[in-house]
Amino acid sequence: MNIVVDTNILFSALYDPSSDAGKLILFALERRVDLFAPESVKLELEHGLRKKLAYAEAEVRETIAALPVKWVESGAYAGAMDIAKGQLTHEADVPVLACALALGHEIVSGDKHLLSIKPKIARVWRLGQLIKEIQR
Amino acid sequence: MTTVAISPELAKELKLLKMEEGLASIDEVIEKMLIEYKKRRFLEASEKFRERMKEKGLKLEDLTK
Repeated sequence: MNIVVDTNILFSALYDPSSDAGKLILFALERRVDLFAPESVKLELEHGLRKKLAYAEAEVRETIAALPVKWVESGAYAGAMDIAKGQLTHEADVPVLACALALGHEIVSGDKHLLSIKPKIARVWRLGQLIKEIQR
Repeated sequence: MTTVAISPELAKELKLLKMEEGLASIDEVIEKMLIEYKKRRFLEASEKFRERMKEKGLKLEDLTK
């Protein structure tokens, strides 16, 4: 199962590994699910760690490396950005949807903007729902 | 499949672990070890993250503002 994740899922997983977001990361480490994210998510994570939590560069690198996520370069989803922009008003979510559309993957998010996307455009899982599906 | 050179002592330990864990191959032993290593690395990153959040008095939502 290939799933695109957003920044909130990754920060939530780091904050509480016993949460559903943390479980998703542990499932990915066990190769029960493959996680993907656009490079904008990586940049947002790096920014949060560096600027808000005063992480040193090495700490940022170590934290990013500890996340079992395949980072997708912007060129790989650039062609889907216009379609994604047409579906979302919240700009930060656009690369997440574009990445999912370009790769043909599903999304997991707790974000109301992403969750409002019509199923015919992309399937967006709620975290709890996805965890149950993986555990089945 | 490929070949890696390891010391005889390490090869002995891997074979013993394979037997003790009832695993089918050394490949499987190493794969399980890698998963456990990566889990530990994630949990360590998580611990540091929580500590730093506490130090800075931040909530999760503050990080993506």
